[in-house]
Amino acid sequence: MRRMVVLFVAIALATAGLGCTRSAEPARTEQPVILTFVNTVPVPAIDPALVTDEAGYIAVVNLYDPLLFPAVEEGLMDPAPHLATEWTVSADGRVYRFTLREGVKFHSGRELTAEDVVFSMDRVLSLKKGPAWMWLPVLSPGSTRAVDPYTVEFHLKEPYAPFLATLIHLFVVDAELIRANLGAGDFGDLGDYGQGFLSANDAGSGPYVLEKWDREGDLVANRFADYWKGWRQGQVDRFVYRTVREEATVKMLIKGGEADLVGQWLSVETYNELAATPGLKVAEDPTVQLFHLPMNTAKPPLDCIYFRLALVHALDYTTANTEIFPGAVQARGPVPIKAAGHNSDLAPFRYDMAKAREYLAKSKYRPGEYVIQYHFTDVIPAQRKLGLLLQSSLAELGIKMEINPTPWVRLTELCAKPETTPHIGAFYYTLRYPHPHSHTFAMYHPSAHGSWIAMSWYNNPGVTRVLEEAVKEVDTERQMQLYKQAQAMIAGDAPSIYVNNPVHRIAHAEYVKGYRYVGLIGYDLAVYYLTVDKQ
Amino acid sequence: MNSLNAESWRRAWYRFRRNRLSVFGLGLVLLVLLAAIFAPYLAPYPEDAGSVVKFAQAHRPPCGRFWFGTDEVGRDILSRVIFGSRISLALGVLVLTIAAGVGVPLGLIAGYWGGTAGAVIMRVTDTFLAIPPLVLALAVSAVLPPSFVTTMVAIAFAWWPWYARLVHGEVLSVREEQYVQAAETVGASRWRVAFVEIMPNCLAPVIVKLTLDMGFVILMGAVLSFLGLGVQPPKPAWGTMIAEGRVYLPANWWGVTLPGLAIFVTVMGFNLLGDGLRDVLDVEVERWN
Repeated sequence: MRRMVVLFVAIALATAGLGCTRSAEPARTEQPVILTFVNTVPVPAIDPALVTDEAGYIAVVNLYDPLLFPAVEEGLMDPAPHLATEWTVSADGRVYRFTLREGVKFHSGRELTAEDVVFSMDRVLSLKKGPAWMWLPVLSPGSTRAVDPYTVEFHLKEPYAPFLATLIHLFVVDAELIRANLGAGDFGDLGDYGQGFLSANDAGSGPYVLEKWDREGDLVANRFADYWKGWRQGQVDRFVYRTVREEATVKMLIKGGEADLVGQWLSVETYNELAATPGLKVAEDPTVQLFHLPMNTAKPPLDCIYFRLALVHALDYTTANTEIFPGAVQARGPVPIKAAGHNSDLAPFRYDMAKAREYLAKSKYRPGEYVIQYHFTDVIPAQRKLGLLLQSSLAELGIKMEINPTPWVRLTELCAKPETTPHIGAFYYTLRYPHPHSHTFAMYHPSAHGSWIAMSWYNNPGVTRVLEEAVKEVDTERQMQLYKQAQAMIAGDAPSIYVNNPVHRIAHAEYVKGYRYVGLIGYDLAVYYLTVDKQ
Repeated sequence: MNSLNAESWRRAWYRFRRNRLSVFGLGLVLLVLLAAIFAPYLAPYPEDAGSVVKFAQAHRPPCGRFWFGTDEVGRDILSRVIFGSRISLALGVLVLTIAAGVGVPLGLIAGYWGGTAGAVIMRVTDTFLAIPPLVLALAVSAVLPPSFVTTMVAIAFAWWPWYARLVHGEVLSVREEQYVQAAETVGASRWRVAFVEIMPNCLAPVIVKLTLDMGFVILMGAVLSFLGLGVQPPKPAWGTMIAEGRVYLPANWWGVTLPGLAIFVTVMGFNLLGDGLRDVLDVEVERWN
């Protein structure tokens, strides 16, 4: 305690001093523009073939270039030309041919060619981690081909509806640089496929070059002078991602001007306080994000649908969405309401204790038979409050629930096996790409099991079949119909307590311009699109 | 020990009473004890110590209705602090019972029997003493699932060697006393000599240490629960309350300061009481030997 008090006093003094000098200092253009982003969650990985969460994507989006980029400048999520300038799709929907931009330089100085795109895709598919689930159903190593240095073709096993949208996750790595830095590993000639190298270096062509990354600590990246999109006045020269787990400290840092931008995981109380602070802005956007409590359907007593339905009816959604997540809209099924392909016929879950008791009576498990374990990310207070809310109504039903604050990285590790996966988790799941596939397949198809995204370990052959059919369907209308059907089937099985589509909040100094909520994971913080205007 | 009759108690109390700080310490300890015993009657909102959420009254600063303010889900902090004293005291008593229960017999055996067994016991003790107690407790709690029992075991694990070592030292001096030799001469069994003749005469320093340690154990329990290794929510452990309240610093100072004050008062109470007891018991040892 004493240390914390000393820390606060020190920070308060330091920031008080800064406040004076900052306003008096004239703007000097020759000074590098530094943008410090402070987040309570650390960056767990910077390898584009390994990232799964927002923090990791923030790193990757800034260090690498994807094949396609969401049309953020038009305020849309649709994939737009980026490394690829144009593309054609074969009539049977199985062959995608992309023309690459010429003259794109990697940080190593080499030009980016079709070979690099092939290498990047094969690498993801071979490592089978991170975004691999997006392509494994239709691609395997070898099915991506370089036709000439600026033309690349993807030969899909069968038509795959979300394919174009998923390509905003194909970040291109420098194949030669990785080949020159292979470690020992299980991939034959390719050793560790550069995993060792890419855990400490970047091999990208993105607007920023990695200077250093301390695991669980700071990430620092500097402007890449030869970036193909060029640079304008006021853009950021140096991007610093700082991990500060203490919310009170984060608050002090942004109020004192030591942070320019803070992440989305703070408490609503904090954002309200920051919004009232002169010089700071809180951007609030209704999200295409799902906040839900997935239940481990592979573990008793949650393998019983009646027990799950009892829990679903025991959460006070109104209190959750007004007091804990102010402004949130109650979710209707897994796909966020504002996302493409949402099934608006789905009814939201209702808070109804009588119903909950009814379902509990039908369950083969008695209420007190198991102690339910609820795990949440320790630095996100809203998830703790929600746990207390659920705990209090479960206590009325005679169900004992334990609330376990868990560090984020540990939580993702726990979800790798059904036995270690908690009964209930608390997760935000941000849209990966603008297609309902993102919030159905990745969560509920058995091939996605093992990731925290699919922690329900849900396996319903009927749903699996519909999802597989939907992916292949070329007729868009029919395809969306199938996704809606899948959503209804899934929601009926209650593998998750769908709580809400929360409001996305982020706080930044007023001199940070150009921030725009995109809604696709990581892309909100593509630093290239931000400018700093301290005048 | 039979010299501890009514008269000597009266004198001990007289000496204790002369030291105002000790009496103050005793007062604080009694205050915490009373709070723990009568928690359901003293707490203005006893239900707030359990599983309950009242979002309508969240984050209220201290006022007439809520003397210590309310926390992030609207629970009365005063009620939770009062109930928290039960957890802290229970933790202290249980940990020290285990620590002394393990440490005292081991120290006695090592000191009186000596030999290989004694050497092994004391080397193990030394090994444990070489590891910082917080690190040891953290390691134990990391392996076991977080719960009250885990915390208790974790701290006890770090604490027993102090008692083994203290008693071992005492035994070494007491076993040369004439009454011990007399007992051995008349043919008393080794167990009888150890537990009837020697042990009671080593207890004074143990009692003083137990009192002083109460404060430290409670403090360590608070540290562990602050780090998320303590009791489960919604149980009102002081450390957990501080951990949850610190998010809202510095605006909502009450959520951290007032549970912190409870820890402060309790630890200081036991320390002052322990100091007073040490003075009293040390003097008695001098007089009666």
